[in-house]
Amino acid sequence: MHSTEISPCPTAARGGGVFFPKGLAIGYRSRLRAPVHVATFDSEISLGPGHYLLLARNGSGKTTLLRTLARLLEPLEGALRIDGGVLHFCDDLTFDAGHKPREILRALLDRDSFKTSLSFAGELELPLDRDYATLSRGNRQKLVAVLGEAAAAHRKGGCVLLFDEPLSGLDFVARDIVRSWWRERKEGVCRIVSHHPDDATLEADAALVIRENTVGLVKSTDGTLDWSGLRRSLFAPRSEA
Amino acid sequence: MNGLRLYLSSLFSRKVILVFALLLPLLAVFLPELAPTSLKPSLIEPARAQAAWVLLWMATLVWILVEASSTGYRWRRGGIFELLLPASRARFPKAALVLQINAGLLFPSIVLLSETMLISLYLCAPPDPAEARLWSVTNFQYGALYLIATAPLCLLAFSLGTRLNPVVSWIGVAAFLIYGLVIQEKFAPFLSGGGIASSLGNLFLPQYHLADLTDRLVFKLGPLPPGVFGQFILYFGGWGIILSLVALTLFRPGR
Repeated sequence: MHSTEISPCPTAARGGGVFFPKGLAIGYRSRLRAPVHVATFDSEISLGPGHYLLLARNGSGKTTLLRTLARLLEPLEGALRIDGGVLHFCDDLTFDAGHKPREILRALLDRDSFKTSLSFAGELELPLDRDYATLSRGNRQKLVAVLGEAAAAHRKGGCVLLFDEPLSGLDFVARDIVRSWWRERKEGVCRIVSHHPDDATLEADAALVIRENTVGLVKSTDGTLDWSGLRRSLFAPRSEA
Repeated sequence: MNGLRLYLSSLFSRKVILVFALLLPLLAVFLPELAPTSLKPSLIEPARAQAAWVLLWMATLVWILVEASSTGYRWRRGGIFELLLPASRARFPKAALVLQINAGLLFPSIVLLSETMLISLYLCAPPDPAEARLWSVTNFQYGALYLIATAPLCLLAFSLGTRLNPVVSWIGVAAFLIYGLVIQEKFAPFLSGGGIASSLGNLFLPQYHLADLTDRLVFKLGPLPPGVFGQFILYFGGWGIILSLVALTLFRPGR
């Protein structure tokens, strides 16, 4: 029995939300070995439609949390509540070599979403008719962003959109375009984006921070997170943070 | 997000299906011309039917099963199942995803089977109307048995591909098919003295040679009696259920 429940989330009025109860533990189960605990929520967290960063050091559990949200892993303890559909894009999503971005988008999206994807791809200057194998890392990430955003834009009942480091290969122009897209399209979409921060300020409604096997929430002021404060909370021992 | 549409789109973009779809009829029509049939020209038509069906089995072995196992391997490594599975709205998303993609993997089989049947029905049918009718029935029986026997093997190759190297998973499934199709029948006289090992082989490995009606076509033996055909369908249907359950259990979507 999977312990991830799909039921209305208390915070999400128009779909696209997640509720993490206090004590929710994430990690890996194994048939032969003891479960590997990765992190626990030390307080309950509710995320409604909006843009949330997922910040942690390497190996702290960002991908584990995203995979748990995508129902690819079962929580070790507690039950997660998700409102809306889930779209999960792992960091190294790879399509077949000879497949072209246009064909991939047409195959995976419905008609309205496909139209949206063409317009977003145009903004990002994604080459739609080149073989996937010949795309640079940045262009592959653009394809993932286009696919996710176009699918979420027309998903009825809201959506939780999970991206694992979607900006790491993008140039600064493309990053700005993606961020502005995120800023303008928050309705019904709860975006959780794992991220390695490289800017002085980070635009988001809040950040889920995993540190010393504990997940906490850092809220933003005026839609901006202060990186120096976050940096302290990520790297300093818990007693000093 | 639909795995079937993604698979079919990828299949057409790679164009291998065009190579096989062109080669099969060309070889089936022209290979028998190379044989010394000028001594008895009436042999060329059954020879074409034989060539078409044998080429279909060969294409299944060297391409369709390879395609199934390599798709399982590529899509798991590429994280495509991790994209498709959470997006699914089905009650049993894992089973729905496996069946969706396997419906796509069946598409090449159906294309090649249709070509084979067209060659056999239109280029090789006997001129006598009564014989032609029996010929048609045999072909349709053969087509049904081929599909019901090979579809679960595609599913198995695909699922094994999500766990093992694609070459290893292909060799495993291909050996299963070759044993049931060729070895069990052609080497039966040698295996019959094998005692327990041979009996267990007959019991626990499917007898795919029962789905091979090539000899019935070539020697114009007529279709299988309805009762026997029904038994064969039940036999391969049973094996299909077993192999499909094994394949669903083996399928591993995450990395």
